[in-house]
Amino acid sequence: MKKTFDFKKFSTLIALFILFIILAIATKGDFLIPRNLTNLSLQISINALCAVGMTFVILTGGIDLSIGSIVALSGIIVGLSQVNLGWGEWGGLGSFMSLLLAILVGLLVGLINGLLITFFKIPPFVITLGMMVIAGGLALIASNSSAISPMSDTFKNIAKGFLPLGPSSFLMLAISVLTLYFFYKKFLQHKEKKTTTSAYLSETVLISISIIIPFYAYSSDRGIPIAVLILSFVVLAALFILHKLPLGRYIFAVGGNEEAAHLSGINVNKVKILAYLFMGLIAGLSGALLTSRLNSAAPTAGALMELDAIAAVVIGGTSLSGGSGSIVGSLIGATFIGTVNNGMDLLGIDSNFQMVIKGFIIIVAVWSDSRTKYK
Amino acid sequence: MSILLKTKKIFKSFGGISALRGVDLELYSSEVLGLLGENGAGKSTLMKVMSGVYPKDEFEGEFSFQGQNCHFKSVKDAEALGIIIVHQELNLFQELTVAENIFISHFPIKSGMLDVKSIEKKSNAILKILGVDFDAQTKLSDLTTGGQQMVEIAKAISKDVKVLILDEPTSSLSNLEIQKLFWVMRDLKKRGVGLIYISHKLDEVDQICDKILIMRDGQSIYAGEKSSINRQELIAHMVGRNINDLYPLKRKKRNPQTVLSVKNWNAYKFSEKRLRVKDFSFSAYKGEVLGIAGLMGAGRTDLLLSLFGHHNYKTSGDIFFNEKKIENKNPWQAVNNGFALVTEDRKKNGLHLDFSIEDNIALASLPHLTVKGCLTLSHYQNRILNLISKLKIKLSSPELPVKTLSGGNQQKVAIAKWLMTSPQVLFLDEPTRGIDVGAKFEIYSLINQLIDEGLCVVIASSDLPEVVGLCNRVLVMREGQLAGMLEGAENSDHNIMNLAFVPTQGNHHEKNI
Repeated sequence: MKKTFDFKKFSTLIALFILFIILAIATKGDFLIPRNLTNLSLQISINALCAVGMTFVILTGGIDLSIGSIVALSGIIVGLSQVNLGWGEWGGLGSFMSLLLAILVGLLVGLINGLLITFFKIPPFVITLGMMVIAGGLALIASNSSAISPMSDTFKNIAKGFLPLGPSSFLMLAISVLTLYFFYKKFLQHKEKKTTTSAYLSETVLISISIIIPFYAYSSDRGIPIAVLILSFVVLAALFILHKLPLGRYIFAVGGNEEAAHLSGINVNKVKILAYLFMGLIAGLSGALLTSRLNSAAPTAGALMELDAIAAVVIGGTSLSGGSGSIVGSLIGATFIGTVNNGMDLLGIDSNFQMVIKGFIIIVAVWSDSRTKYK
Repeated sequence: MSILLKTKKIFKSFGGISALRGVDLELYSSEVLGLLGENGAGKSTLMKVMSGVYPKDEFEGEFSFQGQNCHFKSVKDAEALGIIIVHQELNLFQELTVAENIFISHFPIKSGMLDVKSIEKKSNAILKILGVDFDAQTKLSDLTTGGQQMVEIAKAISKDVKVLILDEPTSSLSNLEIQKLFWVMRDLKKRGVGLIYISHKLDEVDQICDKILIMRDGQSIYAGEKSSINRQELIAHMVGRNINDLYPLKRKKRNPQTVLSVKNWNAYKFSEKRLRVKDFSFSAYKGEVLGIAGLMGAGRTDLLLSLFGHHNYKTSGDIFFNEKKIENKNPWQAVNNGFALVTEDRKKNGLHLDFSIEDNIALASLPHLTVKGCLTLSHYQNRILNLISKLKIKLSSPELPVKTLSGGNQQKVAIAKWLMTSPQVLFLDEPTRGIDVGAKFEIYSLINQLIDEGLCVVIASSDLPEVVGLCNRVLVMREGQLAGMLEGAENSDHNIMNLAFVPTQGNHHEKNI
């Protein structure tokens, strides 16, 4: 039996490319300028990070509404450490310590979420809704309701910096070689007649385009953004956990059928707590990155970020009831949402209208996805 | 006495498995017809046909009410004629009052609004007939299960009932409540209502029924006056069948080495707020099949789940494994102790239907399928493929979702998942429910093969011929307790049934008063 082209798997990616073409035409090419594409990846990276964490939580059949507030709270803690504690004057070490502190805050909130959900058996929606309000309030208290700035130069560099062009080019070359090797292995499989020619060609072309576009932008602009490197690292770690560790299978199993997972000898509570911990870690990291990018910690900074992350996960094809979905899908979903935002900015659409349009696009994207799935 | 219901040659099948194979039933007004048969004989299916749960085009055969052919599209059509069924499981709303529950499907409307006063008045009148000690304004969740059962019966009476079908209505009633129910049934009988009474409790059948219909394997085996059949004949009709061909030769040799020994086991089920297993002790030997028989709700599943550490139960008692005391506080501890449990309902809690066949088989043994902590399924592909061929699972690719397989093959995947963990004690809960005869035979052969390999197999089953044909020893459960142990020639359908039935009325009284 030959494998044919899996349209379902690539439908969101194809939709993204169509969106790229539409925006390129509508902006008379401005959209595809390397500087804009680099900015786009900077804008996407934080939502993409949160979407990766949210994928874990949603795969277990849960949801986390508190990440916007965790982002705000950890951002404020970073601001306080940089400004009030004076870590901003300690250069690289101070930045590193601030980053670590943000992650610890995120882990702590994630742990509390996980423990409450598993031990009191209260739906995640309710627990994390409560945590959203609590952490949001704590952010306001800690910051005295005002923004904290400025951060040190090294700290600003975390989210705004770039890997210099030299090392960037080397890294991209290495990745390209790896990709070519991957294509070669696929080609061998194809020669063994495991896939049809059209499937092999379309998959190769689609993957190539998704690598060529960012590489073209980074190499002709300022190099690879540090934020994108951090995102890539987190994505690789997430993929490793989901597909190489027993824990990954357990996450799918708990979301797919919790009762059956329990009776298969899986420690369901542990799996859930780990998912919320991972989400918290990523939210804390995102708080640090956002503070770095804005050079200011505002108690309202993370507002509605949880909704963008959920939208990205759902557009990426992960089932809200848990048990099926993918990290790569969520990345594409985050890119899709970021691209819509960026494109509408370029087209000069009023920001209030942007919200309405974005909402419609989310609904249409998920609707068309569910149609291809259940046909 | 005029004829109310008449069915002729009713056939009904579920995806190739026939549940009813030509059933004839006649019900006259002012009589109580007792419908008897083993679990799975087709009683409930027949009742669902008559109450409109299955529309006319989903079964074959003739079915008439008061001489008119019936073409029900839904339960509503049947209820309009006055055919009302009280299901075994309760269909009530916990947050509504008794009155609201009774009139939920036929609320009287007065000038566009619910006429609460009138339903409370009417409900209280019905409750008075039933002689219960609560009123119409009580919230349903404040009642005991028995009280809720009475509400279900009140709901049926509140409609203009001509045929009342009661499907094991007394399973959660106290003796006093049962007597009240019988009193109401006799009253309905006087008013010309025809009643069908389904029960496993032969004493009750003796008390209330005028006629008997015995079903077996989807067919009507015996129909006639209650007075013309004695209890022994009745049980013989219910269970008698030739079972010699289906079961592979029973292993005679028994290795007396005790593998599992359970002492004074109690299991409290949180959701039902009651003990489901009471003071249960038994031993299981290496290389034998131990059967656990009992009526529906006797606690077979609860026993296995609680021994496996399921989180729905609080337990007390001791488990000895190879003469060493162990604890199964949760399923992962049980798995590590060498236990395995194939659940009763593979769809609900046995398998991940959307996951691939190989992922399902690997799921319970993932920690052992790693190299340096990383999953390396490809290393273990051979073990999975070996199990697939050992169990004769018919599939086109192990990467396909389990839901693409037939019921029998799904069941084999569930067993393969546990054989993958190399267990020493294998619990099988209803291992052949809803699968065809061919797959049944293959599973029986597999069980014998596993015993030869030295496994200790415990089977809980409501399929009596299976328990008799397969097991070396049988424990009979009754209301969560051990009613008796049968071995060798004693292990027969007849003896199991005798033990499984609720003891005579005398004992019952002691317990309730």
